[in-house]
Amino acid sequence: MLRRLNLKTNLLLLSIPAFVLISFGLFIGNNIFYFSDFKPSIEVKYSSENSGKLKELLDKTVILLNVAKVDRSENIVEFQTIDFSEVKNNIDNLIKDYPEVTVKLKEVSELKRNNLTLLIGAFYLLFLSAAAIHFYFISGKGGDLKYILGSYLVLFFGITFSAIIDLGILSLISRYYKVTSLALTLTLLGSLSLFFIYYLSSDKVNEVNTFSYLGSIYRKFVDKYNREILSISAILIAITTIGLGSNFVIPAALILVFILVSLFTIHWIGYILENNTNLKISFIERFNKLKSLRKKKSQPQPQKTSKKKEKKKKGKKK
Amino acid sequence: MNWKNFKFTIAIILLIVLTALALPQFKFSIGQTEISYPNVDFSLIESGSHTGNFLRGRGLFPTKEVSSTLNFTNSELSDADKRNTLDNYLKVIRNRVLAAGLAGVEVRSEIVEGTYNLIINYPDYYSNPLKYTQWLTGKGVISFATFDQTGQTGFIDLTDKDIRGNISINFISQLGSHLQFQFDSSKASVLTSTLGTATAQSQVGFFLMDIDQSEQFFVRQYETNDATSYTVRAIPVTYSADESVDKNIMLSIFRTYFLDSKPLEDLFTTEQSVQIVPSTFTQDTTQFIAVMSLVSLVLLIILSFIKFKFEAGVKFILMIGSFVTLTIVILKYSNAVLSIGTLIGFLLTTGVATLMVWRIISENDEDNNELRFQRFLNFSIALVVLTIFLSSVVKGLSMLYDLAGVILVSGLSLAIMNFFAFKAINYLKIYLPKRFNK
Repeated sequence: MLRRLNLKTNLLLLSIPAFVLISFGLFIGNNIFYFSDFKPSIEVKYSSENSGKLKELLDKTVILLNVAKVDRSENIVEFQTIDFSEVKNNIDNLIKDYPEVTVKLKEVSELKRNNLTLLIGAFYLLFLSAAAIHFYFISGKGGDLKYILGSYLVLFFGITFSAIIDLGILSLISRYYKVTSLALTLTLLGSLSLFFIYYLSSDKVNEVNTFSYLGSIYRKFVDKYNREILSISAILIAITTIGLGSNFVIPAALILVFILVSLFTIHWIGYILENNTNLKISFIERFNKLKSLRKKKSQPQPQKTSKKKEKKKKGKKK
Repeated sequence: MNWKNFKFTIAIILLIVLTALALPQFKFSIGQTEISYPNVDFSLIESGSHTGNFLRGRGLFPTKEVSSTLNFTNSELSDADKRNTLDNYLKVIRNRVLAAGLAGVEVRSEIVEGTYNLIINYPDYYSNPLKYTQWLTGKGVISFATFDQTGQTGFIDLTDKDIRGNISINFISQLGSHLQFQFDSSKASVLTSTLGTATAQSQVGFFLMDIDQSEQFFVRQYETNDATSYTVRAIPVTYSADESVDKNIMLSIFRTYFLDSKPLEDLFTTEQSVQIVPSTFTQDTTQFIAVMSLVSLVLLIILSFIKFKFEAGVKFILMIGSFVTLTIVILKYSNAVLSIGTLIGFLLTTGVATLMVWRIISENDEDNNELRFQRFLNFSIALVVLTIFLSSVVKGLSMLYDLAGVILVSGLSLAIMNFFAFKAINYLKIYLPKRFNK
């Protein structure tokens, strides 16, 4: 009996490809990250003995375009993705009403752009090597090579997809949060967590004899152990956040999200493999249906005669 | 005592020893005597070593910052040209930092009201940031000169362009740390006339190597092979053995001058003050971080007792305790840097170890667990290989270095645990009334 795909299944199937596409869109739109440690910035530092005026000026400055970061304790506003002259003009216009406030503009460059590509490239290289080493270990223990290779591809695509989605999420929030090296490293570590989850889950890969079975191993593992993985992560992250203070809240929340993305990606790949026969049949069925519909459209339709015409014909006969 | 019990006993002794070594340094008094504990310090093996204490790294502790202002030789340059020049120098100095292997050091440029600055930021454990900044921002002009008995210097027909091959840093007990490099064979006669012949090593001569017109090195040959291969050794003139850390950093930085395509055209003036930059996160002490990690562990232990009941809970304490203490001991006694990267790496690998241990203690079948130990051992070896690979490929990402270092040590620790201690502890049978395990 053929199994029909319902709306929930369709959404699940399309989720990862859709997230990957959206992530690519975000990279292009934000030039990877909109605000980040990896771009040059312009710092505006105000100083005055009149703290009321200073606060008022800061409030007016933070609503200007392209404010990447505000440090209210040091009265520093940081701008990015904007020309120095534009910032200078804006600040000059603002400062006119505040003669008691002195302003200092600073252009800061760190050449970190190279680091960004290096970091992402290095981690991707790491992922690939991790997958290759894992493949080597598994293949040495017997089993059908086709399915072992399949398990390698699960890891390869799983890591690639989850890394792209993680970076996409980071790119999205970079519109509101200046992405730091720490946040990026945590993102990539979140994707790397997939390697370990995958490693734990592929206990029985050598016994696999169908792709459905291979998929079910991963999906069932995630279903069974997601609470454990998340509870351990949550405990460690919560304690670290309490210890390190408010600056760690966003990176900590991010790493939890990225672990979730990793779990979901494995679940998704597991689901696809597990249902590959059903999905194939369902797609073939849909395709055939579409084909037959087209055929029907292209064939000359038998002319339908209206009831009035039939009555007329009958009348004539009479 | 059977073999399994013996292995278990060894594992417990190992855990006790590791716990004793992992404790932070503290002092206490008995009567008039003050005792330091654990007081393990390998500074006798490596002079200037901080072994036995974690170094204070980036993120968790304040950093030191030194500013250098660029003085343009050509004052007619436009603002755009000045900006480009500063950018180029930023690249050069950054490359010097990387080539010198100064881990954790970050460089940035700042333009403030027509002043063009380079700011170099150092983690807390760099002792002399002013000196290092002067060396890093030096023009890098290398020249050679003769030196006679009266203290007069004279011309010698050698330049840094006559050097062939690599410039290496070597150590010989008689000479200390020094630079070693080879001149082109066409300069054989110059070397022979200045340094003496290979057969007359007892009357060995020397000449000077100046850096930015300041006498920094004596250049001489040390062994017969040096003379035949036109090799020389440049020995720093101003350093004694107790300044070995600075001396090694100086050698590493000066070595990078040879790698520059040309010396800097403009001069940097280094400010004579060090700015302390507060930590990004709440500023804490090593003890506080230790307590924080301990609280995380206690929570995981409580969770394990709830999840697996008493016997498995005890096994969890012993297993995770062995892993954590071994990792800390290796890190502590290998001069590790305690930074935000280290902390994240440690928590991450603790999470991984917890999952491993949970999988082991939840399995009742011994054969399955035997397979699992093998697989976890493979995983640990993979971690070690990968982090060595990553740290050799990626240069200049300080946080990642610390992280990779911790993952490497944790991988090693997990491999040892899966090979021996986890196995030994897992066979533990705790004979308790059944009600404890219900």
